[in-house]
Order: sequence, then structure tokens, then C-alpha cells
Amino acid sequence: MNHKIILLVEDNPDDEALTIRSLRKGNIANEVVVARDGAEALKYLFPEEPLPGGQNQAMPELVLLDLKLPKVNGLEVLKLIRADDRTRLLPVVVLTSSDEEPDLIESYKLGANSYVRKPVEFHEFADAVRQVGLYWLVLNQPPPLFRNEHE
Amino acid sequence: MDHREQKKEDLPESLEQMTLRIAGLEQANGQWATRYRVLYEEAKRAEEIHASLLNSSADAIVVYDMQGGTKYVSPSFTEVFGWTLEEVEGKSLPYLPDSERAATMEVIEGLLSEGKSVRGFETKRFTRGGSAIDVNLSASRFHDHEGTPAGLLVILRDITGRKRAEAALRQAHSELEKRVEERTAELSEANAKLREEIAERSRAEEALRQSEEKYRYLYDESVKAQEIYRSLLKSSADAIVTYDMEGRATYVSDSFTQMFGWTLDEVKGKRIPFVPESEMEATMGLVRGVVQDGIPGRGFESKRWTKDGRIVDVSISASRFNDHAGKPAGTLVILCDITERKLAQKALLESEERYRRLVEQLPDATTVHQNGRVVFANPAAAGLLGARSTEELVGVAVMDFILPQDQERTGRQLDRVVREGRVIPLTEQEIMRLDGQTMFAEISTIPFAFEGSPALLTVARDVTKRKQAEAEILRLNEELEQRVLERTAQLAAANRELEAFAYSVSHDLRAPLRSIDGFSQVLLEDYRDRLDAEGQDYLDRVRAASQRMAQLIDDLLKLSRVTRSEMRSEVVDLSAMAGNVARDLQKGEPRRQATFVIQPDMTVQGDSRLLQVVVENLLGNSWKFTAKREQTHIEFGQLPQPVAALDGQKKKFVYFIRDNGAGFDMTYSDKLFGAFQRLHAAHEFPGTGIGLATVQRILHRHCGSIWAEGAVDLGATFYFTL
Repeated sequence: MNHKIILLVEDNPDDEALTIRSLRKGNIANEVVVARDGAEALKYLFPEEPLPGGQNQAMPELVLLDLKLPKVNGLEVLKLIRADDRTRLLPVVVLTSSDEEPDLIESYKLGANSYVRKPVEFHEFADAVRQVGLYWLVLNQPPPLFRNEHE
Repeated sequence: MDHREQKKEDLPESLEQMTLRIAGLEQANGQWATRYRVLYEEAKRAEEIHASLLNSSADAIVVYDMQGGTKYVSPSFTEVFGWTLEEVEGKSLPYLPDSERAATMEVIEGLLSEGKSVRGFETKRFTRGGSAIDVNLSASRFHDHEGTPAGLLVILRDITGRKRAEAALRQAHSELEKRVEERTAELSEANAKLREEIAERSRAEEALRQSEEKYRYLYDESVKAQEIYRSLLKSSADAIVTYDMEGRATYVSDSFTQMFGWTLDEVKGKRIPFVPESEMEATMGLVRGVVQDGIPGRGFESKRWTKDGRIVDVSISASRFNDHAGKPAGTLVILCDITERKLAQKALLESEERYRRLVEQLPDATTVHQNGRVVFANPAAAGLLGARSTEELVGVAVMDFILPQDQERTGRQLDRVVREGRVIPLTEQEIMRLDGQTMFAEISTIPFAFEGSPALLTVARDVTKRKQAEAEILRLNEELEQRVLERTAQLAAANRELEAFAYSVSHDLRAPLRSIDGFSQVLLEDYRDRLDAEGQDYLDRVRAASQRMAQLIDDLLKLSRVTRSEMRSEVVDLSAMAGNVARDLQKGEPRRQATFVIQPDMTVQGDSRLLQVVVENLLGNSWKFTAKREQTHIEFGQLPQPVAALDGQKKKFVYFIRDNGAGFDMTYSDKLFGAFQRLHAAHEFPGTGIGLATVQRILHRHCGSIWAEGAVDLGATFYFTL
């Protein structure tokens, strides 16, 4: 019923578990695809070969992107997303432990739609994840071209 | 008597009357007697006068009676004629010469008969000695008291002398006349001669008249020349003296008087006593040359005394001059006062000596060159250029010292100094010594005059040692720079590592904490029913610890960021900043009773983000440590006078934040600013112990400092400078 996919790019399985739990607890039942490093995320977004059955890979409605990732880091991934016509307008929310200014600036420069620091306190964390999900999947209007592509 | 008898006869008289008459007669008689006595006295006196007249008269006086008998002769008569009164009294005087008798008798006859007085009758008389003398005779007849002729008074004046003189005069007169005649004859002869001469003179006159014009012209010229000569003498500033051939002054000019003091009146006809002993010999030599040989002297330098005893240096010119006939007549001497010139010469000599010594002592090599060759060098130049003596340098070509590759350029520069009088400023040049060694010297050249001709003055200084030192410094600098570069690279690498470390701390240390906290919470939420109260408490403690750890990590990151971030310099309004922080603090705990006293307009130069951290930390500290006070009082201000925090440091304004909080024990004040150092237990006042370390680091980065004063329970004051 809800086909809006969330792509969660997260290498830490604890964070992955806590994020998914927080989404579910926040009544966000969308499918969550997890990529455990940058390369995996890129592979999902830009598949090299067509999926079996000629089916197009379903584009996510939202990307939750950690910055510190093995192989290809989050900022690299963001840069490539913005460089490709297919993903140019894709909403990307940076979800990270870093509050370093260079990370913030670089993320926005590269076209992040939002930047959320993961709080250590779990209640705050859970609340932050829930609000992000609600905002971007319910309240926010995705770009039209993007929607057309799906239908 | 007669009167008395007559009265008696004529008139019958009473006794009384008779008595009266007798009395009257007696009185009259008395009067008569008196009159007679008077007359008698007078007559007697007249007689005496006569007698004394007769006796004292210089003229001879004789008195005759009417019969020609001699009654009186005066003493003068006796003197002149010889006879005394005794010898001739009553007799006739035997002194009438026969030749005079007739005339004399005629005069006497007139006198006797008619009383005709005789006056000025000139006649002759004999003296007793028999010589005849000329007399001037005056005579008169005199009478007795009844008026009858009584005799003759004759006065004889001896005029023999006069007569003789008259005779001599007469003779002289006749001689004179004779001579006049003779002279007249001579004169008429001379006249004739004169006329002849006049004729001749008038011929000469014509010739004379012709030459006169010439002479007048010459005269005018000479007058003019004299005028010029006089004004020359008068107006000359030099003293002028003329001497006669014997060396006596005949003239001195006004200037002479001014210069030496003597006036013309004082020295005219004299030798002027102004030649000092020391100058005598030389002066006499000059004088001999001028006076004897007529050789003019010029510029002879000597000394002269002045009248008031000063010595004057003079330059003397002297020449001999002739009179109109061409005979040497005197000398003209001009004395010029050269005292000042002498002084100036002396000063010049001294100054020359001074500069010569100066140049010789000068440590810089100094040479003068003319037409490309050295004409003068000082000892330092000999040393610098490798010569054994300064003499060895004289005559050497300047280009010998210039390296071949520099010769053309140097030649052009030197030409320009000569042509344009331009100075070559101090420049460094490598030069070649006489012994072929090269060296670096600092050289400047200026145009100069040497012995009256244009020349160049070059001053050079050996800078070999300095060059070496400079090269050494340069080398050291390069080395240093290299080391700085290396060190910078090392530091940059370290910084990068640190950054990477901080980054990973920020990510990797926080992630597990989040897991710990997160799963603790999940346990509490999802498995609550399986945990008892103790189990739940443990999980709460796990969560608190992880959150505290997260806070520590955040503070550490802040501290490291303070060190790593770039400094910006801008004007920061500390007062406004503190006001905002205070408001936020109050808003966070609105129930606290607090007073913030913030001095307005405290503006400083600094990085606003970092200073924000400072203000937040310090005010936050005060806020935290006053939490247990009923009334919180926090003051932020600036001390009125700038002070030097350390000795020798620049004076700076000191800011302070004072509170009435828990304070601290001054014993541990040195631990206040260390990271993780805490003076209070965590359960009393929460905190990580990193805040003040961060503040101190920020202030150090602003070249400031921080210190604190306080006492337990009496509040604390933090002072800082920027």
C-alpha cells in the first residue's frame, strides 16, 4: 500500500536497528532499504544491470545518509546523487553523529535537503527519526518529475 | 690907632659909651692883629716857596737890583757858571761877551725902562772858567710892595747841547743833500739802464706769454692730480705715511691715525716709534733698499706697535719719490692691517691641520683622485688597498682597483660625478687590491677640489667581514626557514591527525554510547515486566553514565575546536554579548532571583564566536555556583585603569566577572584552568571540568590571560585580559 521507499545508508547495525525501531514506533510503516556503505548505496541507486524481469529499480522517496561510511563516504555519495539526472532532485537528509562545521557546510553545499545530528539520548534520537520520517514522507511534497518517474 | 684918636676928638662921649667904644676898638684891634698874622704867615710861606723855587730850579737864576748889582744867584747858576753868591753879591756879573753886549743891552734897556718881559732870547755867556755857553734867557722886572720897580729876575737856560745838536743837524743836512744829489745822478743813470732793460723785457714777455698757457694747463693738471692724490691719501683704508730722506714723518693719513693712534701733529718731523725690536733689522733692510737704491718694496709683512701698545700685523709697501728737480725727496709708505688676515690664515692652517689629522685617523679608506690617478690617500686606504704606505698609492690609476667587468660602468659613473657634480651614494662593490686580492667594499664618491683643481674624493670601507656575516645570516635564515617549513609540515600533519582523531571521536565514541543508551531504553520499554525495580535502576544508571560520557565528548570536541579553528578579528561588544547570555540563563531557570550588573559598552577586538564561548562559560559558571543562593548577584565589568598582568607586559584593560556563589579555596586556584580539573563534587555542581580550560585557551589565543580570586562560600571573581 505504501510504496514510498526509505533508503537508509548506515554502517552501524546498532544505529540501523534503533533507527528502524524508532520509525516503526513513530508509525512510519514504509519499506526501509538499508545500504551498509556508500558503494552499496550507489549500487542501489544506479544499478549497473537491469533487474531480472526488466523491472526498474524502485527509486526511494527519501535517503537518510550517514556521513562516515566505509568505502565511499556520505559526502561522496551525496555528490554523485546530485550529479545524476535521475537522482538530482531526490530528498537527502544527512543523519550523522558529527556536528563539525565543515561537515555541515559541505553537506549543504552539495545539496543536502536537511542535516540532523543524532542525539545520544535515546528519547531524543527516536523523536528526531520519527519527525524526519513524518516530515519528509507525509508533510513534504516531493518534486513532481520525481513522482512521474514512479508511476 | 688913628681910628681911635679920631673918635676921641670928634665925639663927646659918656663913660659908658667910651667903655663900649674901647671894647669895640679892642675887639677890632684883635681882628686886625689876627689878619696881620695871617698875612705875615702867608708872605713868609710865599717867600719860602720862592726861595725853594729859586734854589731848586734846574735853570740858572740871577736877581739884579735896578742898578745892575747882583742880589742873588741860584745854586744852579753856581753849578753852570762857577760863581757863588758871595763872590758876586752887589757886583756886576763879568760874563757878558762883547759880541752879545749890544743885543743884551737893548733887551735890558727895554726891561728896565718899560718893564717889557723877555722870553726865549738866545745869547751867549762866559763861565767863570772862561768858556762861552749858549743860553736861552728869560727876564722880568719886579716891584717892591709899593709898586716901585725894584729889580730884575733873569733865568738862564744852558742850551749848549741843543745848539751843538743843531749845528750837527745842520751839517748832516748839508751832507744829506749832497748825497741826494749824488744818488739822483746815479738814479738817472740807472733809469736809463732800466729803460733799456724794459725794452728787452717786453721782448721776452711775448715769449713768456706764449708758454704761460702751457704752464697753466700743466698747473691745472697738477692741481687736479694733487686733488686726486690728496683724496687718495684721505680715503685709503690703508695707513699712509710719507717720510723725508732722514726718516722723519712729513705726513700721516687719517687711516694711519685710526690704525696706530698717532696724529700728524704728534709725529710730524719725528721718527715714529712703532717698529718693534724684532722687526727692526728686516725693516731697516727694506728702508735701505727704498731710500738708497729707490727700489720699491711691496707686500713686506711685518709687525708694528700702536700708540696704545698693541701689536698689529701689517703688509708694507714703500717707494721713494722725487722733488720737481728729480732729486729724491722722501719715501711714501703704505701699511695695510693684515691682523685679521693673519688670524684667518692661522685658523685656516689649524683647520687644515685638524682635517689632515682627522683624515689620517679616519678608519675609512679615503683617497683623492684626479684625472684617473690617485693624488692623495690616507693610511686606512693604504691598509685597505694592500699598499705598504700611502706614497705607494699616489700615482696609481683608479681603474687598477676596479674589476675588469666593472670598469666601463665605474668609468661612466666617475665621469658623471666630474661633469654633473653628482654624488655616487654608498654602494657595495668588489674591488681589487694592489696585491691582486679582491674584496668587498662600501664606496661613495663625491666631487672635491684638490689643490685648486677638480678632483674626486672616494671613501671606502672594507665590508668583507660584514658580507661574510650577512652571508652567514642569510644561510642561517634559509636554514631556519627550511626548518620552519619542515616544522610547519609536521604540525600540519599533526593537525590533520588531530582533526581526524576529533572527527572519529565525534562519530565513533558517540555511536556506542547511543547504542548503550538506546538499547537500555529498549530494554526498559520492551522488557519492563521482566525487570524488578533494582534491574530498572541499574539500566537507568547505565543510561545516565552514557549521557554523561556524551557530554564529556562534546566538551572535549569544543575544546579541540577552539584550538583548531581559524581566528577572526572583529569588534565585539562584550556587554551586549553578556546581556544575551544572562537573559538565556535566566530564561532557563525563571524562578531564580538574580541580578546581573553588566557595565555597558565594553567593546574589544577579537573572534566573536570564541569570545561567545568565554562569556557563556564564565557567566554560566557563576550562574551554576550561585544556584544555592537565595539572591544571585553577578557582575561583569572592567577595571578603571589598564594594568600589566606580568612584568614588562603591555598594559591592558582587565575585565572581571564576580559572583556571590560558592567560591573556591585559593589553595587550589592553580587547578581551576586545567582540563578535567574540578574543585566541587559532581553531585554538588554538575560539570565536566573542561569549561575554564577552554576559556583559558581562547584567551591565550587572543594574547590575553585569566586568573581568579575567591574564598569558600564568599564568591569568586574571574579576571581576564585580551
